[in-house]
Amino acid sequence: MAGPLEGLKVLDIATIIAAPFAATLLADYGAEVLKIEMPGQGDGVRSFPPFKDGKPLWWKAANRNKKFATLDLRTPDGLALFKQLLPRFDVLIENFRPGTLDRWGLPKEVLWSIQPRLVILRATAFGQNGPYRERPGFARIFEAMGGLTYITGESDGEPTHPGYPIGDSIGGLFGAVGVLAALWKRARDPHAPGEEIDLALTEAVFRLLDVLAIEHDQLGAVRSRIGNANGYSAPAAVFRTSDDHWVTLAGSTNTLFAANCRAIGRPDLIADPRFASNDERVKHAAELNDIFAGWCAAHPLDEVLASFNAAQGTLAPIYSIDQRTRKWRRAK
Amino acid sequence: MITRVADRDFGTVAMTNVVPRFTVDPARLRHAAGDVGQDNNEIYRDWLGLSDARIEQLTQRKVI
Repeated sequence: MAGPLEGLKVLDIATIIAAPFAATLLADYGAEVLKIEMPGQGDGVRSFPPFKDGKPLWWKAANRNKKFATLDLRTPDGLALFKQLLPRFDVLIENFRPGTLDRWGLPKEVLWSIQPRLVILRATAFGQNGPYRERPGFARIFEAMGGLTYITGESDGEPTHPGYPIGDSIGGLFGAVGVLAALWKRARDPHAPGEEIDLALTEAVFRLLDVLAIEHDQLGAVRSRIGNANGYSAPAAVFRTSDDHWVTLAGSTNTLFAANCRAIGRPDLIADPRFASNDERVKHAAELNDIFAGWCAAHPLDEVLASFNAAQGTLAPIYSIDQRTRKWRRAK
Repeated sequence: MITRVADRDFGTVAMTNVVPRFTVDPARLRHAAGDVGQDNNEIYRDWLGLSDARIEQLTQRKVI
């Protein structure tokens, strides 16, 4: 047993992070994934830091669970070998500029003449059509033009990218989901044709930001940055503990608010009319956040966590990777 | 990328379109999210064959 996608065969001719991540997720779930790289140089991620003893560590994670072969599709022999390989596969994942495979003699008509049920995932920055189709992209472009960067950061600070190229990961997730959706149709109907999926990685980021478009359309509001407040509940903020660790607090219901008040030994706040409902608490967010910040600053992380756990409050530690790893080892 | 979609309260509203795009069998955005229990009749009467009286009773008792 290898997982629910055992038997599914995926050909990954994509590069860098986003599109290959879609293939990696399918590999995680049991698909057999063959990654094709250019002979000699290989994928660009092989030269991404960090390295240990000259070996790229990110690469090892990003393309786990795959088989690796080399092939130059731009040579006649390479093209012939590709056509020989293709019938074995259910899914093809590519991220060349639009029209590149066509130019190499592999338009979708040719691909489907070789493998009629092939699901083709094409991942690009801005999609196969439209004025930006030729533009290259990477995570920061997807995050910026997808709308995520503008709403991230302190209210008086500059727009902020996440600390990790999450725009690539988001795109990869949508790629894997798109492939699985197309495979449902194939599973339901043995005569279903193949599918061509046009994944614009910028759109994938924007798709996550559900409320932005309808809020702007219906209220004319342009959502901006609010730091670690969340705008819809209070208290909600990030606090520093007395031993210089970080915690995050949120929770909108009266029950959770009461639990959080008990956690910091302030049950008197529960009955305070300024904090009687989530609406009222949002209006007085600054006062509430100050109270909780003050309490956290006076206690070490272990005590903060123990207190909130005992009261069933809604505070969580903000883990660094070493804390995360220690926790995981202990839990094991 | 942004499209307008049917909504019971406001006629149409704008939201992000379906991602990714399926060229052969295009998926589409059908409608915005609806009201509490708006499809109860379809589910309980048409799907499960419950009578109107039974549905009314379950509604009164706040089971549905």
